[in-house]
Amino acid sequence: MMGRKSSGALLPAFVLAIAAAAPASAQTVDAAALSLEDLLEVTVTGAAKYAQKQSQVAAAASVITRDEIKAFGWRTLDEALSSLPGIHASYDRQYGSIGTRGIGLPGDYLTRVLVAVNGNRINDALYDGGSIGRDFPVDIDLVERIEFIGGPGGAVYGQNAMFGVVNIITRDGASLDGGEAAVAWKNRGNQREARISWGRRLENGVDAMFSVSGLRADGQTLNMAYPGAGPGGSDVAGRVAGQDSERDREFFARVARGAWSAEVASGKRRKDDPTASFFADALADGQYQRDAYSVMQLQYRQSYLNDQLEVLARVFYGRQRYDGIFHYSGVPNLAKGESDWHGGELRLLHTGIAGHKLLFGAEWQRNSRIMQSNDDPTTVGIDTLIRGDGRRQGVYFQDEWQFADAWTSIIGMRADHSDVGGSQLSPRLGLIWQAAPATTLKMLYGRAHREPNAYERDYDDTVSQLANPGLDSETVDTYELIADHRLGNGTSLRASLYRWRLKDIITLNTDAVSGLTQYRSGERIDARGVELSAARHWPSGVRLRGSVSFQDVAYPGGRELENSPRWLGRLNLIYPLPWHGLRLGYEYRFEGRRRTLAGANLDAYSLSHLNLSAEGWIRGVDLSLGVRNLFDRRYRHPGADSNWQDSFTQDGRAVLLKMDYRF
Amino acid sequence: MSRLRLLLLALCASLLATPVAGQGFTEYQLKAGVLYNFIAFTTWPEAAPPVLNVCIYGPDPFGREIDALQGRKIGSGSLAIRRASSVDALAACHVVFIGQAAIGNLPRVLEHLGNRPVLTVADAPGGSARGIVLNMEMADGRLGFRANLAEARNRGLGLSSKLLRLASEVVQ
Repeated sequence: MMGRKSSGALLPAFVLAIAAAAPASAQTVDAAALSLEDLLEVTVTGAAKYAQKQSQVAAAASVITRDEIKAFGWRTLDEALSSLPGIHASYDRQYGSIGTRGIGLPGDYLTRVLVAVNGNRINDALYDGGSIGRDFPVDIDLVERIEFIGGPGGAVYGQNAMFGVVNIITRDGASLDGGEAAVAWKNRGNQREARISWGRRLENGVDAMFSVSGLRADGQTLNMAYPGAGPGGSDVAGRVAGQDSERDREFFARVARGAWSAEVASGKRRKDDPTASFFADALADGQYQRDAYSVMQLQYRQSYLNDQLEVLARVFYGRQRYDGIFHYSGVPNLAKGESDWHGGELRLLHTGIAGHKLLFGAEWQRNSRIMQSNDDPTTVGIDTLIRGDGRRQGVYFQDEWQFADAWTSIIGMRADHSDVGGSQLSPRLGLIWQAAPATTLKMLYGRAHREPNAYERDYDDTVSQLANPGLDSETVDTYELIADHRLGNGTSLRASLYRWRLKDIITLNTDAVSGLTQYRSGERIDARGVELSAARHWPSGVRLRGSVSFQDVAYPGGRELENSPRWLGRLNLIYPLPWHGLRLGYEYRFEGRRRTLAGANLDAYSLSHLNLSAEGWIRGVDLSLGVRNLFDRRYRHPGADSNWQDSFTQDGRAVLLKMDYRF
Repeated sequence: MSRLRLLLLALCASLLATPVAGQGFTEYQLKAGVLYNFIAFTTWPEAAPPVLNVCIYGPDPFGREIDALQGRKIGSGSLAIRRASSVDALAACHVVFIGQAAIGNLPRVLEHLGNRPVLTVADAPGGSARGIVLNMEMADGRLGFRANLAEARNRGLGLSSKLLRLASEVVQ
């Protein structure tokens, strides 16, 4: 196997299962000796084997391919991921985010999902958030596939992998195989994008690629309301122009040869803020938030002992920079948050004992710099400066034991220690029953954690927020039952039934004495849900997948969770049109009612997105025309406890044009 | 139904099943065999070259299965299996197989090949509509294929009537 071998470090079981599926049996059968008529009568056993391997993954795993990203015209990860069951996207006119299995509290950083690029974590050392919107440092055109493993992954991945792991597998030089240039335009906000990339696998085995991209958007003129932002707590409203603009840039480079690969992903995004978040001055120009991420890793991946031992070793470095300007009484306040981290991981996968797939790993990370500051330029010096550092280490072990023909058990455990969260254990237990060649049942239990981030724990500016050094880690316990069934005609069905309980959720409270906000361990949250999904591929290239998710998430006493739609419906259709090279991608999304922090209910809504793409009309050129929110539906998403607004109106219909050129 | 007819039916069924009987082919063993047959039933416009280059573009899904075809006699010539990680390596190919992992680069491959007499083969759903001459497709655990005759003519390739008869669909 060439190609993907060196990239997917994070998800060993998953990636290896797929990699191992191709070169199957050792016996060589001379299929070429048979006539074509006979060959077309053969019933393949290997196809089922592939499915079986994938279905043995101890979670409900999903993959979104580059082809789908292209067919639906997705430009950000949240657009793509929210096509999956149990994922809902939110936007607060600053950041795009996702909620998983009902949890996506307004304003939370994406701390309960681990986001990684080729196995290298993006979740930073300060806010601990994974980026998933425009601030994600890799251009989506460079994504070969998105792997989403739902449910708790803490037993292998540790910190943050509470409700899922998103691993982005990037393209490599062989996948680019030359140069690419792309330009895109969106009418809403006059958003322009451009990208130039080049990659190749050379004769000597060196695979190299690089890419640079940029985005500029004037932003929209918006009717905004700022309840309580006026003198004496009066309401302010107005039409704001030029406060929604955005500029991004991204850089990616990767070089690999044999077992070695090195890569760097870097992105910077500045988004102007029309919402006056953090209770800043309403209608003031020049308020913005800016994020920069750079992550790099050097990876070694090699098989030993007749492919019975796979060794993965990697060292990584990450750097995150945030700054925001917020005006208070006309004075621009500069807030900063910065972190640097580095570390290493060693992972061994051993398949030499019959029936056992053993995984051992150790990970070490040092957060060499954590800095938070706030500066009011009218006072002398920096008003607030909080520095920190830290380290965390984890060891993990997992045994996938096929103890009978149709039965596999999974026992896994990860032990983590950090100077913030102390010691944590994240166990995983699973039982997989291959009930029939096409039917798999899985029973799973898992526990996962996240320790408080430095912002929640340490940030203290004495005027708005107090620190809480004694803040506990969050813990989630999840029980899940998954049934997978494949029909011969290219149809696959999945049902997933789950329960999770989140303890010690870290939430923003108000201190009764000082009246300032402070992060504290909140109430227990209980959830139960069911996800039903079906997918079918036709030989003609038509692809259809759909899902219905029900998720019931509540605080004790039954109070409903905020920004947690109970019902989600998804339908995704790719339809090749009879005219040469033309394809239609149609998406339908239903999102149930969402509750806001103030207790209001935002109406349920349904959206349709359409994307028409053509390849090969002009030599070297692919074109696409997309219409998002085709029927111009009006809908709203909840605001956070750092916003004046209780909810935000979302965008109406938008037209996107994109042109890709190969050279 | 008479006993004799039943017996005859059973006999026919067993005869039909003989060459196929439970060999436990893996998917890509089967696809390698079908690929060989595709080549055998295709004619190239110029006199058959002594060595037909069969190129696997992108990540190779066959592994060892395709090496069984290395040096194999076909008509008056023999097959040579080559793995190509770049379109630049496709210049001398008579057959190009584009695996599912590389199908995203199909437009680039087709642009590179132009109208040259190259038999393009893939196993991606919708491949024939995107310009693949012979596209394998899996349904109900069995392999079928679509033939894009217009594309074959365009490339000056001849597809035998047998091939067209066995195809699940022929794009004219």
